[in-house]
Amino acid sequence: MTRLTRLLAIAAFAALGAVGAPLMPLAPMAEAQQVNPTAESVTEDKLFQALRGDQMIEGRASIPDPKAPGLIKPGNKGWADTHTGTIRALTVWTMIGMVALLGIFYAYRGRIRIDAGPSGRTIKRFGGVERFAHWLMAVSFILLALTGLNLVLGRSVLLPMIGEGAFGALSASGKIVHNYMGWAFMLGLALAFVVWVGRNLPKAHDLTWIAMGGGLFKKGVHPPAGKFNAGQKLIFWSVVVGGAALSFTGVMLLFPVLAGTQADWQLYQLIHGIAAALLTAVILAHIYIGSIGMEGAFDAMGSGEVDLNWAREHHSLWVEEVEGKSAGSQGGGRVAPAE
Amino acid sequence: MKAFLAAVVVGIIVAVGSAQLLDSRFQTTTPALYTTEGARITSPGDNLVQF
Repeated sequence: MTRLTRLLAIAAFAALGAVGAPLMPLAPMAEAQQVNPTAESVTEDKLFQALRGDQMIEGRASIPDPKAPGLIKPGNKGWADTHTGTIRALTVWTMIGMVALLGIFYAYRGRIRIDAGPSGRTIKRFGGVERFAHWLMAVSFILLALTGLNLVLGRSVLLPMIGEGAFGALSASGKIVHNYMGWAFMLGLALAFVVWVGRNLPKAHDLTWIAMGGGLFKKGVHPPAGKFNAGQKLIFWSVVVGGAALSFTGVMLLFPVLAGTQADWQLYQLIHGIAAALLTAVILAHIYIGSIGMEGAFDAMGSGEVDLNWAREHHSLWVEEVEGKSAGSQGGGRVAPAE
Repeated sequence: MKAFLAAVVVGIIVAVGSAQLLDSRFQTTTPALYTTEGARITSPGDNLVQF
């Protein structure tokens, strides 16, 4: 190649380059823009601006959960406020209110004694199956209440006291206990319902019991009652209805896919929180009257045998029924001397 | 006392049994369920209150 030929070739390449320059590099540049990982990503500033508003914030997620891309939805904020505000306040004030009420009642009435004094004879009040159902519900409910209370109040009460590590381990363990002890509670609830529902249907004398305040406020007042008085029937139906609500919503929370939309799931969580707070308050009153509040009451679920005078004062119609049956079956051995 | 102890034992058995049944048949951990060929999710551990 002569010198002139080489120069012509270089000039031709240069000319081609000058003409094609605007075109040829365009394809690689466009590709580069398409794969630019930061060109369309959300900046922190934009995200915080969006979070201040009430608009929905959604994106794309690589995991196969259709709910995952929903970062912020307007309804979620209202739910979060209710959950961390209203429900927490309701829980705290329900607990404090019930404990205060029981304290005031104890200061006014003291421990309710057996007016006629212990008779020295006992009567069978609850059989083994009844006490088993009661204690299965009681043990599981107390564990559920404590671990549930930790979910509501733990971060503000326990976390500052025991630190992040201990609180994290405790809450993770509590979550496992809560998730699985719930099934034991459901079993106890179903068993108690079957065993006691027949005895907890409303009767006319329940109105008399309510009108007389159950005889709880005045010494020597004992309205008639069957195996369960009106107060106990209220507790029974509170446990049945509240327990059923907690069980259903609890299963929905365990399996959010079954619960439907996020709004449904949030509704179940609110019902779960409200029912738990109210039922815990009812159970606090039940524990009080079944232990320190009334002499002889614990024996009913302790040994299953109660003092005859206690039974006559608080469940007169039931004692008449039992004694009538005993007389009909030659004494029957239902009433026995205390050991 | 026997009824109470029986309730405690049965409660534990039901809880452990339900955990075994649910974990083996109905429940999967998030890392296991959502790990794909393109994305591996590791277990967050026990401490979920890291700020």
